[in-house]
This record gives sequence, structure tokens and C-alpha cells, in this order.
Amino acid sequence: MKILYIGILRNEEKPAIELCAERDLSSYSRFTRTSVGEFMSLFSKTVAERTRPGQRQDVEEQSYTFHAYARSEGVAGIIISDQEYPALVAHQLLGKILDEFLAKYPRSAFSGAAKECPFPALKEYIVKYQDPGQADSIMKIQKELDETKIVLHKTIESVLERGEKIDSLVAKSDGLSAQSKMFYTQAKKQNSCCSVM
Amino acid sequence: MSHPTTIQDRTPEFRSILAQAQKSLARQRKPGSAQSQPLLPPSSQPNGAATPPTRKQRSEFARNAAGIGRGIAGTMGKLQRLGELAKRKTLFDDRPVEIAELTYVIKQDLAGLNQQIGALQQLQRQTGGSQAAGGKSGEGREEGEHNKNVVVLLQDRLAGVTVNFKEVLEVRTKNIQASRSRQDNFVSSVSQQSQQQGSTAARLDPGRTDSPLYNTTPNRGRSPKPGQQQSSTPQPQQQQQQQQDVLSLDPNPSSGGALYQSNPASQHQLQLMEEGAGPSNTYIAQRGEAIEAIERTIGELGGIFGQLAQMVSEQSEQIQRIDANTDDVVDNVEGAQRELMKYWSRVQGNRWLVAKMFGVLMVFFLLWVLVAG
Repeated sequence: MKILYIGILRNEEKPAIELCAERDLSSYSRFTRTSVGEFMSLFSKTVAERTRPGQRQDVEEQSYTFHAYARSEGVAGIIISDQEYPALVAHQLLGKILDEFLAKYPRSAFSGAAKECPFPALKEYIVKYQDPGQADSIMKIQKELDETKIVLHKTIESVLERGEKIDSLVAKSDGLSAQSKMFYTQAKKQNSCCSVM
Repeated sequence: MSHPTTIQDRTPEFRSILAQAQKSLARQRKPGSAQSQPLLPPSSQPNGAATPPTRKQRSEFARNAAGIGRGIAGTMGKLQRLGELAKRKTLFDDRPVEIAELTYVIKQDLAGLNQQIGALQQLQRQTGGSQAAGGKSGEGREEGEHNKNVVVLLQDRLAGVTVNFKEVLEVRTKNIQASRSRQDNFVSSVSQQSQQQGSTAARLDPGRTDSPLYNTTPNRGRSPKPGQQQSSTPQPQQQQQQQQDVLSLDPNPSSGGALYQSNPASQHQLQLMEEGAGPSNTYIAQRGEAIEAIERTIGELGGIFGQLAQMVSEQSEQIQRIDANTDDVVDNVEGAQRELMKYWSRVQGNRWLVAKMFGVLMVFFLLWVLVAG
């Protein structure tokens, strides 16, 4: 499961304008990369235009999913991923990216002309979030909890084994104590009988 | 300081004091002394380059502090407006967009003010440092202390504003809860099911359930969402609580099909309100599910630990039995060894006696045989 594209667009007016974007096209052959990239920009513009402010959307198209989130300030974030990628992580990422973007560029910076707003953090995010199990905290917690559960199950099994061994030890020590008692009485009997030579 | 609201710029007073001090220092100054440094020294002094900038920095400090104070006052005004909006308990005139915008703006302001105060603090430390090197003992120390007090005061007030902001947000969520519960008294939960069928958003993810139980909860989660989705942890927890409450109170949802046709008017009303928020409800519902799954897992882990503890305590009792048995064995074997030692010593001691007795008997036996024969 992977992310192919993260983009922030301005969707206040009809032709949506791409403010910044990052693509990860390593899974396409060298020849199709540029056209795929253009398709991505085009589709993300369309989806951004159709997303109303304050709305989150997931659009599926062929084998890809577009996760869109539009803010009331007139910017929308789009993530294109394959179908396996969990939507929850994608939307969390969108919220985070849009927050940082809006903190970095106040509304005036992009509401004027169609300027490019470079946002280098997108590059790190697209790399980091390729594996959602690592990057998203909820999934990380869930994974660690599952591992802990497995470890605990193994522990309980070993404790059961220990219980069995302890049972056998109890039996053996019982036998040993009985035998040693007999040994003691025999020895005592030896002492009391006097006329043995 | 005498003014709690504004920062007084006392630079002109300070300048006059410095001029007087300069005159007195010029009178007292010995040639070549490195101790007393004039305010606007000749370039021979090592910190000569530092002191003119400190004067500029001091007035700059005062300017920055004044700007921050104004910013804090403005933010408090906006917070008051937000508080008024949040306190309104009307059922329908709720203005979520305005509240969301206000919340966002206030948050930005707080972040900006925080940064400015941080910069101001650094500035104050720099000026304090350069003043200590420059040796302006009397007035410099007071100025430094004044700056420190100013920074502390600004930080306190910013903290107060932040606390008020959080309280207002909590009040707002409580009111939303109350208003939604009142609304649900008038409208049945089935209408959301019909709205769900009518929503035109693209195919939602398979992880999302279609049960009306989960539909009613997003209804309540919607209004807190726009302004507060990115805000701190009280919000998701409160939403979770809302979900839990609904899950416990919600009456028979599966009989929805029969009730579906009974109140189309209220369905329309709710449809209009819920239309734009369908997928975001999904998102919140999904987060809620994920967190509930984590909670369940943690509960299971707790149970497993409990079982483990129980098993180990049972086994400890058995181990005590083994211990007792081995102690018995040791005792018995020791006793047996003592007996055998006694026997051995007896046999040891007896040997000579036995041999002598045998010898005497044999002698008597031989004599008796000789006498008889």
C-alpha cells in the first residue's frame, strides 16, 4: 500500500490551482511517468473543485483512491493512494499537512495570484507515510498491542508448562520423603535389636 | 509596574539619566581604566560596538513588548466574542462557521503571540548578557530586571488567555451535546438511516458500518468537528463519550424500516443539515472505532495479565508443598544417619568384646571336649 501523490490545491474558484504537490512515481515505468503525473494533477484539481469546504471525501477510480479534505479557508488537500491504504491515516495526514501549510502561509499568501508555495515538508511526509503502520500513531499502538498480546500468550503457555513440571516435582518429592521415612525407621530398628552379630 | 495593561516606554527618562551619568563618569574617569565604561565610548573599548546596539535593542524591546500587549488585548476581545457565541443555547441559530473561524483565528493568534514572547525573551537575555559585559551596573541591572518582569507578565497573561480559550471550547461542546439531545427528542433516529441511503458521496470504505447506531453518533460529532478537529485531546474523548452515551441509550434501531415512511418532513430537515457532513462523519466514526479497538485490546491484555497472576499464585502454593517435602526428606535422612552412626559405634566398640568372648568360649569348648574325651 502506498501513497502516490500529495497535493494542496486552492479550490475557491472554478479552475482549481495546485499550490504545491509531491509525487512518488517510482512504480511506473520511465516513459509513463510524466503522463501519469499530469493525470494526477488533473484529477486532483477536479476532485478539489467538487469538494465543498469543511468536507472530507474519498473517491475511487479504477484502482486508485483519492482522499480529499477541503478547509473553509479555500484550500484543499488531496492524497492519491492505492485502495489498500487506510482512509483514516490518509485523512489524518491531510489534516496535519493543511494545518502546517496554513500556519506557514497565511491566507493572503495564496489567495492572490496563482503563486507556487513551496512546502518541502511534503517530501518528508510522502516518504514517511508510505508505510502507514509505522507513521500513524494509532496503527503503531495497535500493532504494538498485538505483539504484546502474542508475547503474553506465549508467556501463559510457558507458565502452564512450568505448572506441569512443578506437579511432577511435587510427586517426586512426596515419594522421596516417604522413602526417607522408611529408611529412618529401618535404621532405628537396626539399633533396637541387640542380639544381632 | 504600575500599568497592568500597557507597557510604558521609559526610554527618554533613561536617556536623560545616562547623560547625567556620562558627565559624572567623564569627570571621574582615570586614563586607561578598563573598569568604568562610558555609554557612548570611543572605539578603544572592547564592548564599544555592543552598547549602541543595546540602546536600540532596549527601545526595540519596549516596542515589541507593547506590540505583544496589544495582541493579547485583541485576542482577549475575540475570546470574549467566542464565549458569548458559545453560551447561546438556541436550537437552530447556531453559527458553526463563525465559531469555527473565530476558534481558528484565536489559535493562530495565540501561536503567534507565543512566538513573539519567545523572541522577546531571547532579546531580553541578549541585552542582559551584553549589559553584564558592558558593566553598567546601576541602571543596567534595573533595566534588565524590568525587562524580565515584562516578559514574565506577558507570559502570564498569555497563559491566562489560553486557559480561558480552553474553557470556552469545553462550554461549547457541552452546549452542542445538550442541543443535540434536545433535537433528538423531536426527531427519531431512523431518519438518519434514510439519509444514509440517500447520500451521494462516493463509495465509502469497507471498514465503516451502516448501522443506524453509528449514524446517530456522527450527528453529534459534526458540529464540534469543523473548528476543533485539530485541537487538543479533550475533544476526541468527549466525542467518544458522546458515542458511548448514544450507544447505551439508543432504542431498537433495527425496526427502522417500518418507521421510515412515518415522518418524511423531519427527515428532509435532517437531510438538509446532514448532507454536507456525511463523509466527515465516516472519518470520525472510523477514528472512534479504531480507538475502541485499541481500548478493547488493552482490556484483553489486562485480563491476560490477571490470569497469569492467578496461575502463578496457584503454582506458588504447590512449590511450598515441594519445599516442605524436601525438608522432611532432609530430616529423615539425617535421623537415619545418626542411628546408623550409633549402630556403627556400637559395633565398633563391641568388636573386641565379641572377639574375646568368642575366644573364651572356644577355649571352654576345647577344654570340655578334652575332658569329655
